[in-house]
Amino acid sequence: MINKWKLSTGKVICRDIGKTGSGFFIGDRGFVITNNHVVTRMSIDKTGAIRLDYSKQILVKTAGNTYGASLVIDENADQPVVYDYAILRLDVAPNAYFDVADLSEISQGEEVLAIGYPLDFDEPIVTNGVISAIISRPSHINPLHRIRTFLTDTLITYGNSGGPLVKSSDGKVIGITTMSHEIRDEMRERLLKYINLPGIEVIPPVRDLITFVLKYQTIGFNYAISMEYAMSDHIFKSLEGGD
Amino acid sequence: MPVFMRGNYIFVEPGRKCFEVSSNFTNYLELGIQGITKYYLEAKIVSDEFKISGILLDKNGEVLCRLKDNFIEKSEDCNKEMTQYGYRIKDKDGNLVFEIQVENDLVCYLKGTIYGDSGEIVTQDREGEFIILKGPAIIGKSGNAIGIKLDQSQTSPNSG
Repeated sequence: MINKWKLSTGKVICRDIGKTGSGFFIGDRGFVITNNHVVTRMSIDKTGAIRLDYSKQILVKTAGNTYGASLVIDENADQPVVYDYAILRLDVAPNAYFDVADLSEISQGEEVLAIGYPLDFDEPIVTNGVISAIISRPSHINPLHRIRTFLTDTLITYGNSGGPLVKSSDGKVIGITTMSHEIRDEMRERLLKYINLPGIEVIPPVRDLITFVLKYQTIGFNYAISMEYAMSDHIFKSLEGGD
Repeated sequence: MPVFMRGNYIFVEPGRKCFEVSSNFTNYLELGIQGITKYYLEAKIVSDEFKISGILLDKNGEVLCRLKDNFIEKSEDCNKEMTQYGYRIKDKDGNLVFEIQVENDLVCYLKGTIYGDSGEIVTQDREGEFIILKGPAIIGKSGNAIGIKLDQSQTSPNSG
């Protein structure tokens, strides 16, 4: 079973924007789901508007092969951005793929697995845990919107983004692993402010050390966005229905 | 003599999520009447989420864009621009039509000029306040109970 799940997961590489993450196959027609933040570069202009550039060179590496992928979602729509999903399509049929779980039946305490390509691993890494809670939290990009999110103690770190969170019992996917719950305490804010203050020289090794510690300082809880948002994308639904 | 109402909490407790309308705080705002007037705007809080829907017109009374739960329906005449704290809707010339901004995940501020069926101004920003100039409008709602209701002929208690 685990081999099928690993074959259903791929490493997403965006050459032009220098980002990598994870993704997974849904259905037998080559659709891959990942996080929007894996395939975009975000910036904020001086008026406070959020600008997004989608990668034009997306590759998906799976089972030893690398394929070019195209975006299926509408690049001008903001649902994918707000709910942090992107849907890609490969020209090949996958060796294996995930089915989506009945999302209304997920409960707290259920055992789950995260599969992905964290850090610099080129093989899929599997970690396990439980659903610690099902929460509604503000969108990472826009607090106006809230997202149904699975909070889990499953280990997720950089590179896991976009990978599947699946039920251990049957391997059906429930969420897209997205981010770690960061510690936002006073010391963190002070350190961040200090190393970025103009006019203060922090020697590079110290700056690097502080940045590294803050980057990986997490509380052990991680987020996976419910699959419902990607599955209800109107372009995806229309394609999935019959091209 | 104009009536001024400021700093009231209409169907919302202080410290809870709310909209700021004409310097009052409320859980609900409705401008126009859906299906009756050509324009309308409905701002409500559903499951702790601010949701704005409506039909916005230009100053000639033509449909500029349709919003459904903050998402713009396909339109060639306007663009939605996400910001860090909400979004802006601009016309095709880049002029601001409507803006939503959430502060501290608590208070949702509305900004912009909303035009009525004949191109008359229904709401306007005045010194940072979202002022309702013309009814029909409802400010605050809980079940069947309504906070303030302005008829078509009435202006906002703050528009004075």
